Order: sequence, then structure tokens, then C-alpha cells
Amino acid sequence: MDTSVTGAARQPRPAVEADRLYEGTTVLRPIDERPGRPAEPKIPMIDASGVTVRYGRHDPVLNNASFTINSGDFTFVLGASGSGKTTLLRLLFRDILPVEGSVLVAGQNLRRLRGRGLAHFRRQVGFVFQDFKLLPKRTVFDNIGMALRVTGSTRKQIRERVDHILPRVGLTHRRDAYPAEISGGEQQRVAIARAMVGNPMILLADEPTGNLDPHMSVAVLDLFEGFNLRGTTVVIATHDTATAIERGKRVLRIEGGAVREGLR
Amino acid sequence: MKYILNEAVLNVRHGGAVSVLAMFIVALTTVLFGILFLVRTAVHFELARMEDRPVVVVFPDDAVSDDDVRAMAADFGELAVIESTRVVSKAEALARSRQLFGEQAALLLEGFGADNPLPRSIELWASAAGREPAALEALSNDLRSRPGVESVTFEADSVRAIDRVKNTIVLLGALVIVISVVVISFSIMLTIYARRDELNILRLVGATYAFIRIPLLLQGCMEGLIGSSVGLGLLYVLFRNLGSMAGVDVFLDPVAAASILLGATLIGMVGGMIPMRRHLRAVT
Repeated sequence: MDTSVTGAARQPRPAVEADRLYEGTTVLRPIDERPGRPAEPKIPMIDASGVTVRYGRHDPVLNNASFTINSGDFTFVLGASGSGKTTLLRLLFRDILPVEGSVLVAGQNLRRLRGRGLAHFRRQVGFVFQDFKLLPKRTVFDNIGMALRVTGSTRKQIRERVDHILPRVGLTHRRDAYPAEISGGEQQRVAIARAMVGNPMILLADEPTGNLDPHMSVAVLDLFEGFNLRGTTVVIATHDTATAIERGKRVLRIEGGAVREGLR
Repeated sequence: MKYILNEAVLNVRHGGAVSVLAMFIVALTTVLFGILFLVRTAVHFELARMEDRPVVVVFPDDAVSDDDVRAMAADFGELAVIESTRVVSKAEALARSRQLFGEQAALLLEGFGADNPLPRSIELWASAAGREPAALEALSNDLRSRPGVESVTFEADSVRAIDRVKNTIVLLGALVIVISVVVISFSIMLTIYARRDELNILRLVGATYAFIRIPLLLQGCMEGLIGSSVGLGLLYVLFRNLGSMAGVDVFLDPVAAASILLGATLIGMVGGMIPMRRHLRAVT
């Protein structure tokens, strides 16, 4: 089975791991290349304009930053530690608000989101946190299913969808384990599965390979590319310039509070 | 629904000592409330018994003729607060004493020979407004100033005592309810802080506040319901062992018991609502 169109030829990685990661998936092709499907015009999914974010009285982390990310894009956000990568993702997730400027996601002005509207927005945006944010007293299955449970999905729907995504992240055998019983890489994949199980429009990932060994990093990035090929807009914050170069994806660079296009 | 119930049960279990303390306080509240309820029933019974008795008794001068005494009674009956009057003759007073004191009546009346020493009286029954202590005092003073009246007695002390008991019941009841609400609020607040990371994660994966709030409210209801059930059990044990000594021979009827359970559940819910807005938003 052709399991992936990306990553396989670039560098050696454990074949078993790759097979397990994509177990049960069909042939993946970029959306625009699917047979019988016309190329879809790119539309802005994320539109940030003149955004300034400041914590307390410190210098702004983001200063009058503007950028656009189109639907179906795969974008790396690069920058040194403390440059504002996490802040930018939190901004897109409406975890914080800018002191100036506006952020539109799928046409919604995030500043106007409150209460139930905010909850519904977050169901459309999967977030893979740097520290995973798993529920320690819940099993792998329950942690992933939580993203569906909050939407009011039935137990049957939750079981079907979680059992569908578990093999895609190679965690079928860890279904009933607790976070403390699995490795960091497995916890990472639980977080990814939780972010993706609701089929969100956008996937945000904060340093998703920061705690992983090189083999696992490749596998996780392949996984993100797989989701991207199925239409999800992916934004990954990382300080690993080499990975961004190797993957050949779009890059946004944060320097001195400004967001710039490209590596240089 | 099953998830929400499971969460509420988990909250109670994870609440540990504070949840147990909350339920213990609710149980004590229920016992206290049950006792107050039983006392209230006894007071109502006493009030009802008082309604059968005249609240004011007027003793006419011996010089006043029986006809004039009946005329006086008719006059008193015209007063706004008086519902009915009754003239008690000397013979009837003697018969009552004999009935009341039995064989001892002979000892009491010894030395009076054939003379009946007991006075005539006019008994007056007042309306509810007329039975208020202040109204009774004013009525008595009015009657005392009328010609032909030797003395007047009224039930002011009993009425005042019952009033005091009623007020104490209301105050104690309000106090124990407030204490229960505060303790349950505290237990929910501790749950929110103990599970703040989890609640925060729920918000981040798209849970609405209602999704997070309902299990916490149910936790309050459960603590109220479990605590009051234990309290009712304790009250029944107390009643079986001490009820007869206290002169209470009827336990709470099913409606009263159900009211206490429902009330405690509502107290739990109110206790759960109080910390919700401030603390839940602070941690999520």
C-alpha cells in the first residue's frame, strides 16, 4: 500500500514505525491532485492584521504583525526561543487577545468570540500543546474522546472515531493506558490524535518535535503532512530551521516582534 | 448524561475530606432542621390547643347580678377582636374544679362548708389578631376599666413564649441553611481548584461552561442529598431513642421528610452555584 507521499524518500526512518503510523489509511494525495477534483482556489483561513501583543509593561512580543495563511496551507513558524512563536499560536487559538490589530480565522473576528461561540470555535481548531496537556486520570481512549465528548457526540460515535484514529497515530495497543504509563512520544501522539479526532479546519502545533528523537520527529511530521493532505490547514511552531527547510513548506519567521515571510 | 453523572460522582469522591465534611455538615443541618420541624409541630399543636381555650377571663364583682353578668358578656361579644363569649356560673366553676382535681378537690374546698367559694367568670375567645400579646394586653386593660369588673386574666405569657420559640426556630433554621450553603460552596471551590488543570484542558478542547458547570452543580446536589439522607437516618435513631422523653411521639411525615431531602438538594445546588462564576472563570 502506498502509505505516504511525503517524507519517505528524504531520510531513513524506521519502516515499522511508518507502517504503524499510517496503518489503515488510504492513498494520500494533495487535495488539488485528487483524480476528478478540480483545483480549489486558495482562500484566507487566517488573516492577522497589525497585531500587537504585549505581556504587562514589557516590550511587545508581536509588534504590528500582519500575515495571511490560506486554507490547506502547511506553514512552519520559525523563531528563536522566546521570540513569540507560542504567543502567535495562542493568538490564533484565541487563548489571548492582541492589544492592537485583529485576527480573523475562517472569517470570524476572534475578538468577538465569547462563551459558547469560543467553545465552538475551539472545536474547529486542533491544538497540540508543547506540554501535551493530557488528563492524567483518563486513559488514552478517554483523552482523545474528550474532544468529541465536549461536542455532545454519542458514545458510539466517540468509540468509532477514536478507534479510527488510534491506528493512524500508532496507539491502538495503548488504548487503555494512562498518560503516566506511556512514553513522551506516545503522549505526543495522543495529543495529536485528540487535536485531530474532531476533523478540525486548522491544526496548530507548538514545538511538536521538541521532545522527540529524530525518528519520532519524522514520523510525527509525516503525520501532520498526512492530515494536511486531507485538507487541514496546519501551522507548526518550531525553532528547528533544518526541519522546515527539509520539508520544503511555507515558512513564517518571527524576528523582533515582526512576522516575515521565508527563511531570510 | 451518564458522563455528567460519572463526573459528579468522581468530583464527590475526589473531594475527599472536604466533601465528607460538607456532607457531615448537611447531615447535622438535617438533624437540627428535623428537630426544629418536630418542635414546630409541637408548637402548632400547642397553639391549636390554645385556640380551644379562652384567651381572656373576666371576673365580675360579686355584687353584680347574674343577669347583669350575662349583659356584660353580650357587651364584650360586640368588641371587634372577640369571636365568642361564655358565662361560667359558680356551680359550673365548682364542677370543673372537681373534674380537674378529682379527689383532691375536696381537700381544696374543705372549710368552705356548703358555700361555693369559686367566682363567676366570663370567658372570651379572640380572633387571631386579638391573640397577639400586645392586643391581649390592650383588651385586658380596657375590660379591667369597665364597671362591674373585679379582675381580668389573660394568656399573654403563653403567647409570648410560643412567639419566642417560633422566632428562634426561624433564626436557627436560617443560620443552619447559611452554614450548609457556605460549606458546600467551599467544597465545590476546592474541587474547582484541585481540578483546575483538567477544567482548563476541557475549555481548551472546546467544552462550553455549561459542560463544565453541570457536573459541579450535581456534585453540590449529591452532597446535599447524601448528607440529608444520612441526617434523616440519624434523626430517626434519635427520635426512636429520645422522642418519647421529649414528648414527641410522631416522626416526620413522608411529605416533610421529602421536603427536607429536596431542600437539602437545592441547598447543595445553590452552594454549587456560588463559587461558579468567580472561581471557574479564574481557573479556565
